[in-house]
Amino acid sequence: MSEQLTIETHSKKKAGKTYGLSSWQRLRRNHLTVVGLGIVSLFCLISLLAPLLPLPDPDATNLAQRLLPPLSPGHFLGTDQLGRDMLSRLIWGTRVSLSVGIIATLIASVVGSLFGIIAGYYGGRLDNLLMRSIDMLMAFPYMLLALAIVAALGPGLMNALFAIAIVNIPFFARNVRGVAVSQARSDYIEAARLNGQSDSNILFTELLPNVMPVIIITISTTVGWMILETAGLSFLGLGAQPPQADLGSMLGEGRKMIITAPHEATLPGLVILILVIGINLLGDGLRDVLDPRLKSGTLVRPKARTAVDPALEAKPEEKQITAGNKESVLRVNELRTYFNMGNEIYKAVNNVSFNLIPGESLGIVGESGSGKSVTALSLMGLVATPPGIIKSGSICYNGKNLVGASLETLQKLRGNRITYVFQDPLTTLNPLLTVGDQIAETLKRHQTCSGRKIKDRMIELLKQVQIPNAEDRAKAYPHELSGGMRQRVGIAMALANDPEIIIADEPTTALDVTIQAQVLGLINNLRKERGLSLLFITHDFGVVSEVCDRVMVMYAGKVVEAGTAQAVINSPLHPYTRRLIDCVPRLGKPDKVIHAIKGLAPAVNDLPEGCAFADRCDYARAECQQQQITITETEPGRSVRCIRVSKGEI
Amino acid sequence: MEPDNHLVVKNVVKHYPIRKGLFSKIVGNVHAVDGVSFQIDRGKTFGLVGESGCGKSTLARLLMSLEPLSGGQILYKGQDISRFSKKHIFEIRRKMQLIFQDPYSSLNPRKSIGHSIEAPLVTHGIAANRKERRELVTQMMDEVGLDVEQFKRYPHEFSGGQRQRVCIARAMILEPEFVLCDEPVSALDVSIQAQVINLLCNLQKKRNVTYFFISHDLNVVKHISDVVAVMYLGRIVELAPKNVLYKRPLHPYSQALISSAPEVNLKQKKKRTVLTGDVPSPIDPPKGCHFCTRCRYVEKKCTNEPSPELIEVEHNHFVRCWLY
Amino acid sequence: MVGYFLKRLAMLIPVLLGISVIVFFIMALIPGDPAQAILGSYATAENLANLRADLGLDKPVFQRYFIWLGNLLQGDFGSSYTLNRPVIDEVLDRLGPTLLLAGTALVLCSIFGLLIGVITAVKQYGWQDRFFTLIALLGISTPSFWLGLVLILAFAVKLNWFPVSGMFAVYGGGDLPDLLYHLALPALTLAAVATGVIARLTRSGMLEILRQDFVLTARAKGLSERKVIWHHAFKNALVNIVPVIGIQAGFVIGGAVYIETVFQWPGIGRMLVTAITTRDILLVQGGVLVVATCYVVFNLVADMVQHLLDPRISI
Repeated sequence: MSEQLTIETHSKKKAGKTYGLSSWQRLRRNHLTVVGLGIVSLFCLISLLAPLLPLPDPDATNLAQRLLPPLSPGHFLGTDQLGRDMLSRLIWGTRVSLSVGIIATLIASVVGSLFGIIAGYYGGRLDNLLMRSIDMLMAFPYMLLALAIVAALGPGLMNALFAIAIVNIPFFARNVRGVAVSQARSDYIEAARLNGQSDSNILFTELLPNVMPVIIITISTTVGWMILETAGLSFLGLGAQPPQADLGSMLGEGRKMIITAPHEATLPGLVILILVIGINLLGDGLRDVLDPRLKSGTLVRPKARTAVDPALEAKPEEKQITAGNKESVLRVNELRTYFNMGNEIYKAVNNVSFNLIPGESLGIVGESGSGKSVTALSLMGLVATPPGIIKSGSICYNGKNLVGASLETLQKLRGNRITYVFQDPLTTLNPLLTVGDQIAETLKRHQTCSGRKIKDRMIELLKQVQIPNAEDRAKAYPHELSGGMRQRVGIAMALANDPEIIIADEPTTALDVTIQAQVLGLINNLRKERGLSLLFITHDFGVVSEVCDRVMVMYAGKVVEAGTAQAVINSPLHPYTRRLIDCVPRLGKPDKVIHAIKGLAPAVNDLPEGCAFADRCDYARAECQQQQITITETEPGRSVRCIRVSKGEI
Repeated sequence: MEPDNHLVVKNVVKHYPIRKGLFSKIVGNVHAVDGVSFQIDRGKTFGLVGESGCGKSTLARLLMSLEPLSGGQILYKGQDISRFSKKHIFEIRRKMQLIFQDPYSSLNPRKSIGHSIEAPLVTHGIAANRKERRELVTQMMDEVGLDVEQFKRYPHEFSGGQRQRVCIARAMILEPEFVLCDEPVSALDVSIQAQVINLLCNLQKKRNVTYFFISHDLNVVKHISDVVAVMYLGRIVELAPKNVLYKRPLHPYSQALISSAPEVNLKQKKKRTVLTGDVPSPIDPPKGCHFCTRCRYVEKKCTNEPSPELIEVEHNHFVRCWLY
Repeated sequence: MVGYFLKRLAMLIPVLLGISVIVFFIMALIPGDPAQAILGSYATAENLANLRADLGLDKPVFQRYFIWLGNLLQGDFGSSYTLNRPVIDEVLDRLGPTLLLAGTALVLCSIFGLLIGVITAVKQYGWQDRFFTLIALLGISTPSFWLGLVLILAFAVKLNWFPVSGMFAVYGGGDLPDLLYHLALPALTLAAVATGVIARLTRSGMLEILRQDFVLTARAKGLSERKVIWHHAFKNALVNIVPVIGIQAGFVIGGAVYIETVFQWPGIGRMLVTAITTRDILLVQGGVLVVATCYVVFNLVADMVQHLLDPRISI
């Protein structure tokens, strides 16, 4: 999981291709947004040019030609009950409606944002005071407050504009405050304060640029409403007063003629509809560009199973693979999992093979972005698609290839024969269900027994993971438990159906050391008691030496070294492994200058030819970067991906 | 001894009131920092370890005058900075800087990194003009290992390690005498951690800065510190020169903490004391010794009597436990 | 739970007081002499003086507020000068139809909105998604007063399926089927906009939830997609959508003003519009106060529902 996130950040970091697109370019890529932009620009243009266009006077009455239908000669869209030209009136009306909407938006956004940013930045009493008064405005149904204001000020376009602007202030204030609060607490504001910048300086040079996207997003959602609502007030006769006309008041007048001359009411409404659709389309597009969550493509629904390259979606009978190695419960062969993001392909897992032997504990070690978590998630098809896709390889469990297996097949195995324990137990448990229910759910899914029995089993599991007062704690919600307790619940969930394999993805990284020691001890004992196989993903060699029998080291999507934990830790072969073990200060050893690895790991969408570590390696030679380096066995059960080691040079 | 003390912290207390109900009545206090005293010598590194929620970050905020104290004193070169006026705090901040934990949130995403590094120079009116300032910035960037070409780049174009270098440059550009590092490497990958640690060590040698280094990672603290303090539930339970502390921890909590840290060593599996249970809530800490709920040597005295003071059991080795 | 309810109820008091303050002072905004404004330029000096005394205009503004508030608490909202009857009677007569209309619309838009939101999220980029997303977009972009007219034109005038206006048939109406028959078009029109808003928010809420780690956990447990989507994702999305429905209630009540005008529905909205054009200030005041109170109470209910759904919320 954490891995996938890193890949997303990696992609942002690489300001090269997809993310190098300017906001403008990204805006243009969305066709609907372009349509919206077109509509809005057209309306703006026509409104601006209205005085220059060869239009009849919109207020010139001609009773002889009243209520002409559209397409009448001389009056393209017909005339109204006073014989005034509809087209001309529509264009002039649009001009009024549009400018009223824009001015109201400007007033509301400036006043509201100011309230919001000040409340958010200063917090405390001032925040309370400002936001409570804003809440008072919100306590009125939206339109009603506008009506009350118009009632007091009297009908008229300016008063309607005013009323609409006031009732929209709370939206800006609340949205802006929300972001301002979180930004004001973030470290860069603290840093500015530490550096002695004045409050007003921080407000306007540090904070404002960072809340600007929210202001723009709020504008884009409210400007449509404001146009609708001012039109509404005019429709009720409380806005524009004759002879001045906006689209709303035209609609209101036309309403009386709805049966005899439907065009008089329907046309202005249609114009409003098209205008507001245009604004909303443009607004949606702007939001896609400005909202950071949408930007990184996170608002795409992940499928229930990772996509598989069509070539691998083999027919069912072919999936019975004969790699019936009795020695292994799980055999992974040449697995490749890629992320397709825009035009870039991130090779997160790039040709990984391994064997999991019954009862053993295999560690996968690597830094963020090395592909260790994606490897783990690929096994049960849990890598998010899009953007993930399994490109090639096989995952062989019980003589069956799981790559390309149907969702039903996988669902029968997931949580049953092969289970997961994830990193952060706060986010990986459903906050709205009690922990007992969440364990019971796994049991219900895979076992057919009575509710009573399931409950007993659930309590028993909680006891097995050493949760005190199991009966009471079963009724607790995740947020009511401590981090260590939550992770125990996660482990209980993984153990529920007596699995063969547990895949633990950094299960103790989010925990404190003393709690980590507890949980590692628990995992170790349970594993040995039950003889399960464990696939343990971690970044910490210390943890590896606690729990793993064998270990693979991953770097940039590839396994660079594999062997027994003892051998790899005590006499690492690959230069990366050596340096990785070396660069962590050790408790037991005397202090010395630690040798950091220079530079950064390569982005997996832009891998160098040859060895991915060569750039950072002290032993690298020209040949390292000229050829594909294969992983070779140095002795039985020990392999390394380095030509210089294979040749015995280092 | 006295004149060498760069920073002296005396019995510092920070309580956050918990308000409840309609009238925001104070119903209790979070005892975030509960009587902490120590001193740091010039040019040395004082390491503070503790698990999450032990109050180490609150202590950091108090030291940086980001929050008012509930009690106690913080003496910087003999001056009580906790009573300082705004203007004095502004001046003292030239000498005291902070490096944050999260290099992602500590840089303004809409400001180029060059401008972020330059900002302290501007507010403190150092350097006569823009050109001089730029020169200082480029020197600093060079010193922390950033490419000067990257002046105009924005934080999102950098990796975590590089961002942390930017933060270090920003903190160091005013040539502070005291730098507080609040978990500066916890968010980084191990291979990058080492780079940043080395950078901090080099800067210390060159500039004779005092570090106050907070971390939950015992390995890192041991590597960088001269003196290490162990904090538990708002109190320092043990304080000693690092080699003494790591070799012969006296407080039961320090013992458990040090033995819990996973070690890369398969030849001899160490015997470990695994603590049971969780840390109690700082809202309602145990009476007496704060560690009494999880301690294996617990006696009646520990729970009944008020907690013992931090006492010097041997030269420079302080422990807060009835056993000594 | 009961404790929470009582606390929330107690928090209503300052909100209601705030509403009364705002309403009172908005009315105090009326430029010039309110008595003159109410009675028009042909009023006699005697009438003006009487009205001023009636309205208590000879006293300072804060004193006036407390007198006014005291009267409110006794149910005295003053008297409508156009209708010549106590404001409270008129408002209460009109409240029922408005609540019926708005309530029906709110139920409709919640059901449709949530359903469309979940469908579009689950079938993201499928034809269902495209189709319903378009519908939702049309919903939020349509002026509801225009939609009402178009629907009348199509279904009442041309097709004759539904009545053009009113709440009951003039002759022989008055029973439940007749009411529903009259209610259908206005309720649907009123629900259209809110449906669009709720559908769009549900969609993005669902998409966000489906990305979260606990959904991955649910899948890793081998749960069926139906269970993952409804039991895990939807429930979590709902926590954030319930308050949105609360806010939508405000829009629906506000929208009722147009719909009641278009469909000649005898509710508070239409009363308010008439009162504003005839400058019957006391009637406006009373109507706004009562409707705002209903809205606040409804939001209290939404809060309670959210509290029931989410064990993490406390005050």
